[in-house]
Amino acid sequence: MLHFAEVPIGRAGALHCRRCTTGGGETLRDVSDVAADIAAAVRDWDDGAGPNVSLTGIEPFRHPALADLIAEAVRVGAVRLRLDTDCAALGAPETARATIDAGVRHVRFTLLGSTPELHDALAGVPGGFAATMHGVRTFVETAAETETPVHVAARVPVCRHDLHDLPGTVTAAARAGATSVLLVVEDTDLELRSAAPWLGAACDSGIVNGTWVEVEGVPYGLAPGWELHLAWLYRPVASMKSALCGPCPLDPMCSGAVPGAADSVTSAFRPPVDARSIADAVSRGFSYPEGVVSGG
Amino acid sequence: MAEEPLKVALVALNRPGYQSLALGYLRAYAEANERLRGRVVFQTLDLTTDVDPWWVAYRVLRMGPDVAGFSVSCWNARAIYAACSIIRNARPDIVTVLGGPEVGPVAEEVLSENPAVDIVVRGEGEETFAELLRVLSSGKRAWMVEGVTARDGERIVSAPDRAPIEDLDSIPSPYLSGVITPSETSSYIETFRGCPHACGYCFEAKGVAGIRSFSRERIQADIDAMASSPGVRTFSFIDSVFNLTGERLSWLADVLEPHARRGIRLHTIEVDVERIGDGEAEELRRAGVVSVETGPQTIGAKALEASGRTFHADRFVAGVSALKRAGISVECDLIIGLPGDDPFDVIGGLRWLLSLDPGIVQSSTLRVLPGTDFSARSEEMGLMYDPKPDHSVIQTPGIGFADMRRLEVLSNDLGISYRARLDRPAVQSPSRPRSSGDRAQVS
Repeated sequence: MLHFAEVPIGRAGALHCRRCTTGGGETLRDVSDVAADIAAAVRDWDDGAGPNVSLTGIEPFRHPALADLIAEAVRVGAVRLRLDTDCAALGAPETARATIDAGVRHVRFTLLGSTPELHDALAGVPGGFAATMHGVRTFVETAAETETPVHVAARVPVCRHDLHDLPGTVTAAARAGATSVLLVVEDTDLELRSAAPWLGAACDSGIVNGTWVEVEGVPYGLAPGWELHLAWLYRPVASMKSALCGPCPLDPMCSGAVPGAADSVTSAFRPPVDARSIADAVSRGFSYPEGVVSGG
Repeated sequence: MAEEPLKVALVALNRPGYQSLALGYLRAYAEANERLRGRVVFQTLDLTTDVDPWWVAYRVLRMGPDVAGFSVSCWNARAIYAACSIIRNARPDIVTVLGGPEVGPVAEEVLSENPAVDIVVRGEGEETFAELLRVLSSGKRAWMVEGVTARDGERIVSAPDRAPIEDLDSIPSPYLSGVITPSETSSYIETFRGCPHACGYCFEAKGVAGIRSFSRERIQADIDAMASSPGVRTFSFIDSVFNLTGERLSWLADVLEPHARRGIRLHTIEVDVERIGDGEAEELRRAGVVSVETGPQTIGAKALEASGRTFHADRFVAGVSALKRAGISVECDLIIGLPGDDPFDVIGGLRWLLSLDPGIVQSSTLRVLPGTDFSARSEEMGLMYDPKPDHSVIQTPGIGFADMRRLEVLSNDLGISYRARLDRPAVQSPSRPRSSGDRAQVS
């Protein structure tokens, strides 16, 4: 529910499914440009609790000026500073301690599967799963030692390749220490209607493990029974309805594809008119595949 | 040969770090009672809620008491019932006495369901408990004591209610009398009893209408004793509303200011935030207050009406803003599961509070506590809740079971996320204990 202004410190370097896209060459942004963006994000903050800044785009610990960028964010007044990181570097206790001491209170790691085999294969990083889990645990333990309040979240890009493992992936993130997980539907070839039960099961896996799950890229009508997990209820997103939806018979009622619709919807804290009846209609024929809710 | 005095064990299961003020009052009052002098001796066991009932029983049995008295709240009731059962089996002759907001309003039910409990003290306990001890030490029948529910053979008998103590100064201060030694993490002062509000979920007033205050001389003496105790740098007030009136607030600030100048700080002071402007915030700052606790509990119109609460968003915002300008952290509370609210009301409340950025946002699941309006009207309101302590709501007409759990997990994560920041509050303070139910962590 807390909003972060995302400031890229590089491009094409974030962890993603290599079977969906191979990705381009990673580039670093100029330090002064990033610093200017951080300052602007802090200066223009108008979203209540904050200003909150997240450094994104590439693995931040590969940026040679990371320490300077963190210091700059703190200097200009960021209240919450988040790193989108694979957390591997945080496996070294001295790095975890230095990161916390510098002012980082939030980390968000990307997970592509519930097992080392699946995550490493999709990420194209041998040993990546183990390194991430170790890094997250070290970060949490280090924060506890210094009684520093920190928040750990996970981000799961949802695609054809990890869809059926989502409940397990959420459970793995929860067991690593994440108290929230963001599922982002990015795969343009994913058929949302058939994916919805897996997304719902992943949300329930989060609940039974005490971890909050939010879903981006799914319209209200395709979340029967788990509407509360849709991200646009909590913060403005580009559209309550994913562009991936495509033309749909429900469009006349489920008109969230209009840019800006989310603002009016979220400001009223209410789902769009008739949305619940849409959800009820769509839900007929929906059921979880057997045994997909994981953990507990 | 002189008669052996009655040995009384007073037992509380507190949140870690706390001492029971209720037991302190009971003991201080009884020890000052001329008619009990030399006839009763006390030992107090301040244990914590994480102690296994077997070890609670072990500690009590090792003291070898004639009477074991327990202070019962919703969060420790199950453990106390279990400990009483163990004690009864090991030493059937020990008289078990319960008191507190969890058992008083449902005394006959408690005795009916817990054969190991002998007596329940209803309502305000000091006078009733002292009279009960006098009766027990004389071998007379407990059920004749006003304010007591007890067994008479197979029957459960309730004596008439006892009127509330009019002159609170007749209750000696546990601090001034040396019954409780103030400590850094567990010291709090009560300056009045009662509550100006009558919220449907709360038992703060304990069924007694109006406000009864200790005298100002007594309050000042308690404050001076607390603030001068070695090692005490922070303490709190247990009052339902610290800013009861503007004049009283100014007087308290006058009393507290000299201590504040020495670095004594007050935390988690409960305030009516809608009656706070820059002047009141300045008084609080002058008193050494670093954090306050307030509602709104809900911003949903239907739930506010069902709860008998009022809420004016503009005044609330003004109050929070004034407190923030004075450098005082504000802990805003929401209750999940109030009748009339739906999930979007709760989410709306969380979002709205975040927009204020008060300092701490905390939420808890509704507990339908004995003696409350909600308890009496639960069927009419459609509240499904656990009839056993801690009485957490299971579902309501507006929020189903799954959504209730979702909102709990969401608000817990929000609390962790919100708290993880660089501008931490000046003092990391323990929450003050409550009589209206425990709170889930969301700060």
